[in-house]
Amino acid sequence: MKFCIRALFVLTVLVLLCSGCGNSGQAAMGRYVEEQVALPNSRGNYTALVQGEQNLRLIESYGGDMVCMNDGTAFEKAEMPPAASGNNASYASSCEVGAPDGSRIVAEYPEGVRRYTLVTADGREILLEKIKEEEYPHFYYGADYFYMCKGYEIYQIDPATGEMLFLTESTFYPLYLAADEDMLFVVHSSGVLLYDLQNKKVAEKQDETLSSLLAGKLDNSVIETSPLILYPCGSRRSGEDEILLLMRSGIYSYKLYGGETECILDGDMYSISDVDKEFAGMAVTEGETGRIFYILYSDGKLMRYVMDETLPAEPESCLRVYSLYEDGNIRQAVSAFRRKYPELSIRYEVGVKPDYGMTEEDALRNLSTELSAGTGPDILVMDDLPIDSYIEKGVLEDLSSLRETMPEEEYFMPVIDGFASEAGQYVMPLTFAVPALGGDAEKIQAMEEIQSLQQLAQELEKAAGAQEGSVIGTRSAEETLRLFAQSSMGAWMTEDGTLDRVAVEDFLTQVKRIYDLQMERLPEGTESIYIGGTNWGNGENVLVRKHGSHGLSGALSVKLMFPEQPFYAGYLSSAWEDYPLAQGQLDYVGGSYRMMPGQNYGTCLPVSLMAMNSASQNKENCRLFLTYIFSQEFQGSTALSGTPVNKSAYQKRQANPKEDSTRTYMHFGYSTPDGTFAVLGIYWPTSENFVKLDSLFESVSGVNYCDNRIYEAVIEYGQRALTGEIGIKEAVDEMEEELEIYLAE
Amino acid sequence: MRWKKNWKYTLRNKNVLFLLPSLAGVTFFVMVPFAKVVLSSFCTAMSGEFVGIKNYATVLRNSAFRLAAANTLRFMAAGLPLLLILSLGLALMIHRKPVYDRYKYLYLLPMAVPAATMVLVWKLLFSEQGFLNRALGTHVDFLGEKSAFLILVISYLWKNLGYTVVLWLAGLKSIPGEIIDAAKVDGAGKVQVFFKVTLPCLKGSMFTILVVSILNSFKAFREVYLVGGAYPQKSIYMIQNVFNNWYVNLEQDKLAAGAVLLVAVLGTVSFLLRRQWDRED
Repeated sequence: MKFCIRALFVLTVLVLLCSGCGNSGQAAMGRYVEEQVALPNSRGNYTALVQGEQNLRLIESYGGDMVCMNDGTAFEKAEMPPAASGNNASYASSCEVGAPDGSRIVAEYPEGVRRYTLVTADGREILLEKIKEEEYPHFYYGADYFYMCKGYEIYQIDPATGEMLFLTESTFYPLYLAADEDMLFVVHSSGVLLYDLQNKKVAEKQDETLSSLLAGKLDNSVIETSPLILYPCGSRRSGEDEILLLMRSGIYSYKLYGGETECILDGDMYSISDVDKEFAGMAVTEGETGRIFYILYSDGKLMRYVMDETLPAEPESCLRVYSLYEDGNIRQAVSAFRRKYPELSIRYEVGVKPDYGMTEEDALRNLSTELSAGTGPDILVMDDLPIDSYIEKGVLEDLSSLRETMPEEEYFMPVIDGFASEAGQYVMPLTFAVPALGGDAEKIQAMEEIQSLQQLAQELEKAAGAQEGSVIGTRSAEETLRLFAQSSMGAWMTEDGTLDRVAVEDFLTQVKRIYDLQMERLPEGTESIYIGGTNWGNGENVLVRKHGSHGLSGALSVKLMFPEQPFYAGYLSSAWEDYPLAQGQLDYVGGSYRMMPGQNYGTCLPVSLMAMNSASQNKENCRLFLTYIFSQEFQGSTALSGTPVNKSAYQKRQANPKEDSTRTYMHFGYSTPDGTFAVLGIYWPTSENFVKLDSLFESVSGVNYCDNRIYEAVIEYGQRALTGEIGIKEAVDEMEEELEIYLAE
Repeated sequence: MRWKKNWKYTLRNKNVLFLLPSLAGVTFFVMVPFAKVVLSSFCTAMSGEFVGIKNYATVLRNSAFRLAAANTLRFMAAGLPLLLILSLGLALMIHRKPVYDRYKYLYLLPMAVPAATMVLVWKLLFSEQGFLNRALGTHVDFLGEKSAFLILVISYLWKNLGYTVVLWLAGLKSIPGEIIDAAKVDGAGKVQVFFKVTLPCLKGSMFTILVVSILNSFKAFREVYLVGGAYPQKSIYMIQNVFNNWYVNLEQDKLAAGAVLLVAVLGTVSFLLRRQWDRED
């Protein structure tokens, strides 16, 4: 009997231990703390951070370098070789790259001619004659040498003699270089090329894993700063095969040749994930509690990251912001909030991470698990989440009290209230765009009264008459459907949540009329025209992801190619460059615009739908976050996708960022069908232009929103109806059949 | 009093201690969570308010659930008898043939094929641009039509046939040869030996095989999900699809009620089968 009791006791203890009892909830300890390093000359134009054996050096464009010993605590002005200190009295010069010992390569412009000079640590000047004026090289520093990319060619430059040694010619355009004593890492758009510096040849063994890790991380522009830094931790000869990778998502340790990758520092919790900044340099030193990271950002700020072992690995109260897909607006909001409230911890989490092979279903399932367990994110971005289901289940907090703090005159209230109901206000859009119809000014004026798609189809038929050529610029059934859905999709569901058959049939009937009209007249070969450059704002643009590149400025690009085309359409917002470009193009073609007719006429496309988790333990900070991101301070200062819902922020954007209004604000290049390349000078819009834009935004009466699955079903089956593969009734039947289970669930 | 004696006997018998770990595992990881599911089925999803049998009524009225339940039953009704008969037939054919016995592990190979690989093969074969369409000169998406159900049944048979044959072979091996020899001496023909001797002797195995096959039939969901995602062709929309979608949409009240109903049905079927078996014994 005693044996049995003992055995039962042991078993119970085991079970309790397995279930987590006895752990007393102790969290893992140790977290990196971010702190800004004070610099004596805070206005310096620091372009790089380089590391010697004993010191760190901040390279300043005009010779005002700062140095400190490897403890990184106090920077002081460095003694510079005489020739390189400050602007040359007779001509402009700027430092291209510098080394820890003070040697540097300087770009100079004597008599307007560009040339490159090496200034050695002891002050000798050596002209780099091999670089011709028409060449635009990019320089890097790594392990006692300068490296240079000149087109596809890569050279090594001796900082003592200026001797230039041709190393190799890369198959892909080099975008970034890093080096240690033995290896040169040439990062290009498709990955990385390893070059053996000891044997002066391309390394026999390339690292495919690293290549796939870095593929696509850099775009095709080589600039001083980069969203990626590769930091070799030592030489291969000393047996070190670790490199550090600094990316927006964090700092990773990677063992070369397919070794393990470990996240050392989670970027989402620090300025590292800030989309407004890029990296200009990184250094690593050893501290008492582990590695200390120094990161120089593109805004000239030097940040230090020190491990604090007394802090829990995860902050006790960290505000978690979640969106299913990457959203540039939210990333900016999180970065700006972090800057505004550095004492608060905030993290942006994205559900669908293609790099990790995660699907939308997986991400939704994970989110559901967290929400059910009461550990869900504090702030939810509802763009791709089931709004009605979450409201019904009580997942979302009523934001009416927040809404009450918003003065009516300061916000676009119909947009803010677009998702409000008698039950409360659970979702509020951060920005919006308005579907617009553009065309020759007199034609648009004549169409002022029309609101429905049917009237629009009639007008287009009338306007097209017997003329040849494109009528409204769309080039495929899908494009036409997505374009007109911008002003109609909100009408496709009945109040009881089923597909509104009549509305969808009417939509397809009218859009088919427009599509047939357009396709009859579409010039041959037009289908393949590429329209780019509509991804305004920083980071991933929700508008582009959900509605494609169907912005008005993109549509106007087609008009420029086909001047006889009378109409064009697409969403319009006040986002920096989007509206000025559209207005500039309109001025050029003598066009005007108005709200796009549709089944949900008068509504806008809401972007970045903000909501709060009702189970959040952090409600005070949630409100602080929401209040901040709807404030003029945030909405007026950043490059958001879409028009800010804060009116004063929108109006603040109307000021010309360039003081001289007689000078062009930007340029727009396009190719005509005959292959001629033309460049259009775009001026900042006039006050009359803004009055018109104001009236467009003021006339918005609500939001145009549709369940994603219904929207995609209409687009999928609608295409078959438009191309005549099946009839409209048949298409709606198939839609109903496809959606039957979904709606029944 | 008798219970007390039994309990004392059980405690005294140290062998029972060997059962405790698994019993504890089942209690903590199956019984307790299921009790929570039963409780949740009477409450709302997130707020946990008691709503009585409302969730059960909602689930039983839900047309998606009814369709999924009907499809799952249809799948079992088509797949299970075919699997049992075909596998038994094969087992009888190769029974006592050492060549087949030596390579028995090969029968399990289909089970080792990952579902994703199998789905890839399906797509290569049955998609609109697949081999079957090329061979027939047609352009039919067999996985998007009603034929998807047939493909699912065939794939279930292919995947489970070898394993079930192995189970039958184990059962056949346990039948003493003397009984069959005695029956033959008594003048029984092959059919009589099968129905009067072999089959009754296999009854114990049959129960296990049936239950295992029913459970395996639920695993067909992996293939269905990989082919059609959350909303596959209507004929292969299974009960796990609806459960999966409810979970994603936080409809945990319905999910709990549906799960309890499913367990009730499966439990009743198992119980009735067992009783029938016991009665015949």
